[in-house]
Amino acid sequence: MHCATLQFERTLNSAAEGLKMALRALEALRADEFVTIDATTAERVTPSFANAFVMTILAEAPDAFKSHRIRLDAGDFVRRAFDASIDRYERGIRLSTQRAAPR
Amino acid sequence: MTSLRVSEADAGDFRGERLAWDVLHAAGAHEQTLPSRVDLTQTVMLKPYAIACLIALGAKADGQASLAPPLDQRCADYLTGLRLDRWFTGVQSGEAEARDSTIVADQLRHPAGDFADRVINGLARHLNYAVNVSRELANHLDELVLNALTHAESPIGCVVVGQAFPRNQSVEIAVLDLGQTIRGHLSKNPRHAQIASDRDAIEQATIEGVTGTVGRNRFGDPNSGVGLYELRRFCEGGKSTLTILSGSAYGCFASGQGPSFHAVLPRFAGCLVDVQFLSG
Repeated sequence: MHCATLQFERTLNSAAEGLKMALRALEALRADEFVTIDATTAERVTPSFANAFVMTILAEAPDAFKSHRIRLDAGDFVRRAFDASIDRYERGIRLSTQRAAPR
Repeated sequence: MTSLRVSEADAGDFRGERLAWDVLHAAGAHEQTLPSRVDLTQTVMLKPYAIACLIALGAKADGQASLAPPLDQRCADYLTGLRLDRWFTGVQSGEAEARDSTIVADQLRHPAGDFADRVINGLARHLNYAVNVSRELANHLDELVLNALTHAESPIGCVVVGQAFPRNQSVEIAVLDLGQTIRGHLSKNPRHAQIASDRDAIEQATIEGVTGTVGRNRFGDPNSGVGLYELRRFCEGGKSTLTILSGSAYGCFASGQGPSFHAVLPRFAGCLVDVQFLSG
């Protein structure tokens, strides 16, 4: 197994960016790699970014974080934002793209 | 020529037919002819949300409306630093004053990566906020701006006005759009189509996971419906106050009490979110 590293920006504030990074992380996972998220320089992360990133990954790889196939290297402030998104996902909150089409 | 004359001051409590209401109604009533002149000569004080309303009016008039500045010198100086010449004719450019101002104002049509940091860092220079408080405020501002730009379908994008109050170590931020209202947005999602009033729409929008977005939003991004929920939680968990005005209602959220809702007449075609952040 290889270990890929994704470098995050200083400010993580849009769902678009969260989605883009999640797709890159999933691509690396599919290639049978561990992924390290290097968010050590990130100073803040919005709930929208964290949700788009975390929930996109969990929808395809539900054990990615628990199994440590994706490892987050970040300060407490950023880590709490990602943990909150994992918690939301576990409580049933989903991205608008992950919900069944309403009838 | 139509002229809008605004009254002396706004109490800042969203009550009474004063400055903000005058301007808000002129800006938000889409069927109404816009005033070509805004008369502030009798004005002595403006709150950030009142300034946001004023700028929205100027933006909606494509910068063609003229502004008669306040006769009160303090109030006039205060406005000079805002560079209202971006939205009105007849006002001085105040770039030099703007550099060290306790107040910032801008209009956004597209998400801008570092906008919230620039606003909050600029205001925080006047305050003794811890770094993590500034980060939290920038996060909330980012979410509010993205909400306005992605959900509102506002012809002017959104207007952001922020002011630092060093004396009581607080920040007030107003984000205003002239879009489809919260109820209009939520009703696009069949799950929320049954929402019967603007009051209910405001309350629903502050519940975790509630969004009007089905699939992707106008910028092609997913949405999770947590921005206003997190802001409400932040305000109710501390000393801050959140006010959301949309359509024919506004709701207030603060710590130590349940939300309160009030009627707005005539109906405002847009959404105004005003937050008074107090640290601690």
